[in-house]
Amino acid sequence: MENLAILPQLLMNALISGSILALAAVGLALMYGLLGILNFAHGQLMILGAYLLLFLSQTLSLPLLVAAPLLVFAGIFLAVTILHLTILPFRNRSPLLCLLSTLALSIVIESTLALLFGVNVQTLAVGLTPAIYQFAGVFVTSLQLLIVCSTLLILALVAVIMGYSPFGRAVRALAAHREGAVTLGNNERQTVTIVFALGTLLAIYGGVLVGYDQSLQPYMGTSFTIKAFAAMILGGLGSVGGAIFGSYLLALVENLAIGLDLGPWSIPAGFKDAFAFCVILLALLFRPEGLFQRGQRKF
Amino acid sequence: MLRVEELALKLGEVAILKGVSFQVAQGATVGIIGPNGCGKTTLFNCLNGFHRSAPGTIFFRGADISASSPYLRARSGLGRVFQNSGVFRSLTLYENLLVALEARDRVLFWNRQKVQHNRLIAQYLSDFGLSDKAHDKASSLSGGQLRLLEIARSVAVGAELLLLDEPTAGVSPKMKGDVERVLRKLVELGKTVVVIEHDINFIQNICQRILVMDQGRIVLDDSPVAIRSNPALQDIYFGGS
Repeated sequence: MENLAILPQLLMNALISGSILALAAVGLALMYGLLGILNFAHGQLMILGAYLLLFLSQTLSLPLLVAAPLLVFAGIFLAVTILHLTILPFRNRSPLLCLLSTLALSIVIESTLALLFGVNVQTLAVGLTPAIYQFAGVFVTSLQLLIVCSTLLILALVAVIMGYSPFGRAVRALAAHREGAVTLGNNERQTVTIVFALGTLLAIYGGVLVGYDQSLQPYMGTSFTIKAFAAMILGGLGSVGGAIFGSYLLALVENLAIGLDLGPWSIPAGFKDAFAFCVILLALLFRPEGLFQRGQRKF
Repeated sequence: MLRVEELALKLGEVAILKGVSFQVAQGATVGIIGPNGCGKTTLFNCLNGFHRSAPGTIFFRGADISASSPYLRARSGLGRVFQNSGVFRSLTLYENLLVALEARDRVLFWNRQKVQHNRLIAQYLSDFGLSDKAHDKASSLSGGQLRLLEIARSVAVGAELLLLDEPTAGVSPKMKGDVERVLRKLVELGKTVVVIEHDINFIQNICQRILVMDQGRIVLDDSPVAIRSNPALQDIYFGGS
């Protein structure tokens, strides 16, 4: 009975954390679907974006209307630099080299953030007192509503662009058959750069939401990378729709696992991540291509 | 239209192409034959820019394209139909052709020519006998239909010279006839066609000239009748006596 009472709150919590995870997972899926590259520094890019906004808005005291566009430009610059320095040079030689270079990048980002900002927990929500709403036994802040609504809007926009715009068709064509697309005049380098920048900006926005809703710490990026991978694998590698589905499903499993009172079978909060990954392993045992895929990679 | 001078390519320590030179006039239909592994597909990959040959020069429509990127060569009018199909199988037939038209017109984010493009797509699908499958995924097509779609796409993107790599491989006899009819239509439209084939009868029917390759070189360059009766062809395919 008690579990039934807290179930709506757990579902809301899953919706919030799933939204942030979906931003990361979709960015990763876009990159993997097009490039075949798993970017191990993706979670670190999220946190880097949040720290950049921290620097602009708190250290430099810039208003958000000025800091936000600067953050977008910085994100695009970072994306282009990372792509051309750590991914494209290795892409045609070995996927393993790409993995290793992005892993090295993740460590560089974390160490640099720790050096510049220290290891103490920080938050973007300094001085903010969001309103709290209650309905049907569920408590949610105005900030959390913004997280959910803005994420759903952004994901819908990405879906429309990828599914119905000329650019989205060109990206899907390049992912389907690289040489076929290039021999139609597709500028592969330009397309790849735009997609990578888009994925990075999605990650940065996710990191900013983490910074406002939770807290920031230089070494938290790895957890997001692993969960984004897990969500993408659960939904089907390279599938944007699958990444979204996997993200919300993973968030639901996590929140139910630690939130429900199962008596002696209750899952301790510290086991949250491990429990979720156990569920993923089970799901993949029965459906290795992912819950959303039909046995082959789709974009 | 196309002039290739002393094209050579090494992959690692292995010489794949050794001093290949030939010309193709505008509106001509040229066939390339040769045993497996003699460098035919590699030659096409060099022409499209997927391999950077050294030394050697490629002139297309009077311009030296030897250092151009593959996508720029495509935009200058050099088309390709791949041996293992370059069709976008996860897209529909309609989307495959729309991608080509949008690439031709450099449409990136907003297609203002959707009405004209839709009309052209309907026409291409009708011309190539694929109208009833317009909104089906390309993965549902047969081998021959995939070939026709890929040729239609090259025409849609505005290619003036088409490089066709074994267009009848794995295709039924009936579909071979369809492919042949399509190629003849392309020639009537003034397109220049260079086709790699193993089917000598097919290539003899549609080509004005045949190049025979062996071990990375062009060893014979003559009319189909002369090539067919040349005893050297027997040696190339079956080994010298």
